[in-house]
Amino acid sequence: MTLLGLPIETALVVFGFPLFWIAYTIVFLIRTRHWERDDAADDETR
Amino acid sequence: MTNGESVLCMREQVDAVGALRIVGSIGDTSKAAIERKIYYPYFWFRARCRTTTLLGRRVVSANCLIDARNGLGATADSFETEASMVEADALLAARTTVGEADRAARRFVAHSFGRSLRMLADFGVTTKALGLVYKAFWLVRVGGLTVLVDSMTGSVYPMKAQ
Amino acid sequence: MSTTVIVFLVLYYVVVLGIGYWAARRGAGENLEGYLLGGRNVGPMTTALTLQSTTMSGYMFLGAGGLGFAQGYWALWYAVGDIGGGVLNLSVIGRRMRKLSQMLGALTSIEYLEKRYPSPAIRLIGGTLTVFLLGFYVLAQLIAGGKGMALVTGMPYPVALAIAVLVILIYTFMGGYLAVAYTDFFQSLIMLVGVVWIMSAALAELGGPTAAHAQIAAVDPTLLTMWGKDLGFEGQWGVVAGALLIFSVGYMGWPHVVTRHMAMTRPATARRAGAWATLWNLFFVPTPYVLGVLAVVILPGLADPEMAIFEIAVKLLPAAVTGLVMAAIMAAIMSTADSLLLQTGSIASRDLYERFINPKATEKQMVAVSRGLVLIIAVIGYAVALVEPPTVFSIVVFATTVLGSAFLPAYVCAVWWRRANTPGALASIVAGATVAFVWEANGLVDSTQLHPMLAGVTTSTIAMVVVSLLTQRSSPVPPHILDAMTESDRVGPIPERFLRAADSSLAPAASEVAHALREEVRNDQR
Repeated sequence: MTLLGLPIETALVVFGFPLFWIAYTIVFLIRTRHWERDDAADDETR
Repeated sequence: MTNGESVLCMREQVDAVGALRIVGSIGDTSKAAIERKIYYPYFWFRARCRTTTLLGRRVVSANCLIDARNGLGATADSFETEASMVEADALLAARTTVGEADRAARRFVAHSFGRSLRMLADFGVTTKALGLVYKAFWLVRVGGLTVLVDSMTGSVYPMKAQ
Repeated sequence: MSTTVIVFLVLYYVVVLGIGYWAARRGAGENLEGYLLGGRNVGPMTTALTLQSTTMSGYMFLGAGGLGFAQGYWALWYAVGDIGGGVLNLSVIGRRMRKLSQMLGALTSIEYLEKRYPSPAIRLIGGTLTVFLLGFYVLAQLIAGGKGMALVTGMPYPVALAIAVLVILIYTFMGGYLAVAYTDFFQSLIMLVGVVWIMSAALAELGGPTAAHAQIAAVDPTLLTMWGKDLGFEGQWGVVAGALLIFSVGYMGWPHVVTRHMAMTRPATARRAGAWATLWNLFFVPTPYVLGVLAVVILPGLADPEMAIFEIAVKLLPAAVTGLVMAAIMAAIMSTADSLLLQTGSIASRDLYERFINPKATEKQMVAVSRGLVLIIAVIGYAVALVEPPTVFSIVVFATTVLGSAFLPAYVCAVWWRRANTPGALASIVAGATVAFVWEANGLVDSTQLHPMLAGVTTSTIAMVVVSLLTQRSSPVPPHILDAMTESDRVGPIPERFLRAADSSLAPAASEVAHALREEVRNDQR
């Protein structure tokens, strides 16, 4: 079995890891939403 | 109550009412109360440096404030000063010497320049010491919390209850 | 080399200079002082792009392509770790390190280590190690610059190398001309567009990805596996783990990269920069490796595998595009070399010379030391690059492995582990660097099937934990550092809405005020 001509194991690594990092980034963004408000408050008071 | 002392202060932009309003807008207005006012010491320098940009050689000068308690450097936008009578127990004493502060100021300015321009060069930093200048901070009590309010910028910083 | 390529090469530099001029005028009109002294330009996008693209350009355009050409898809183990390097670094230590370095008043990343783990030995060993390794790292950029210049201009390699080294020196000594945030951004964009363009041309030439892979399979099917040419790495998970770690978690141990956290305008910059880093990396990072693999069929008789990407560009792109893309790549290499040299110079002058040799050094003397060191590196680099140039890949992997192994636990524990103390950090740095170095130098990877990065970082982590725990009583972490850590962490009884509103630049003053108030109370009680 192949994907775009790549063996399936290779395709899994090559596409799976980027998906993992995308998920990691999204989770990071969601969990740190309050950092942004920290800045907004900073702007108002400056 | 101790004796008053005449010191050079940065002209306040945020008064007690303003400080209460800022803290109130974050926490609970009805519970916010001014606890005290503290005058924080900085060594004030005027730093001048030479730099070559695409527009030719320029001399840049900037205000540089060195925290007189811990020696940390910062640059500052221009500010007005005024002589004020301040009660001695509201003044925090300077802990660094003017010599140490001068060195810190040169180091800080040269470092910032090198980093911004990304170059290894002698910027010929010269400093002119303008003496100690104090900035007032409001300590606002709200609930079990003491909040530090910068009287120049209105920025806040929560501290544990004292 | 065609004249069109050279014309567009020149055109590129004119545009970059134009952007620099425009930005300088704009800056001068508004607030040059603020720009120069406040460092307020370090926004999320610039943070992200410089974090990734301008630290690794020589490696990306030569090393990555060369590895892809030699080992096929195995090379992608390095890429898939690297994609997450930026966001991992920013999410784990970015914000906390920004706050803690401010609290401790550190200007360089080595000074930060000494303030967190108080001991001159930390700065002496950390600084010396970093100067040595970054100097080595610069060598890779010199070789990359020389090879690229030779290809673009058609000049003999020794002449091209000399010009590249000279340009890099001018860049470093007079950087103000070009180094404006806008040019960094423009350059990064052209680099990205450039590699994507080369990739599209390569895929078009081969009839799409599926057809390309079929052609590679016809040459050597093992190149399409994740185990290297002739399955040379089959089952070697210890090597795979190292390849994954080196550019993902490894970043957190590189003093020249983590120093950028300290320059972030605001702690929350780390958040958006993380997102930018991932987005950029997804497109940029894997492409050079895959281009190297495709070169197996596009350039079957390629003499120097590390030239794969340059040669594909020359072969497949229109001359004008080649000129632009090559110019951007060259500029990126120069810019990387420049920032590495700046770091090396400032660590040598501030962290070693001023700290240990001449504490009363004037700014002039410090600059002389930095420049002297940069010149020495350039001369030695030129000689090595001329006589027997190692591959860019091997240099970069060596330098980054030793740096990562030495400093990763020290930087991570600095903000996350309150019991990490000076003996622990010293043991970790020395043990990590030694093991990684010995592993690399003696080729232990073949006999042990463990990547030097894995061996090094495991050793340094164990050393940090064990030694810190054993020496808690004799060398406790000083209270002022614990206080600063608490501040940079900010968990506790303070309501969250106040934490959100807090201006962290007031943290040092707040801590002084709190200290003074405590003293006052103590005096009153007496």
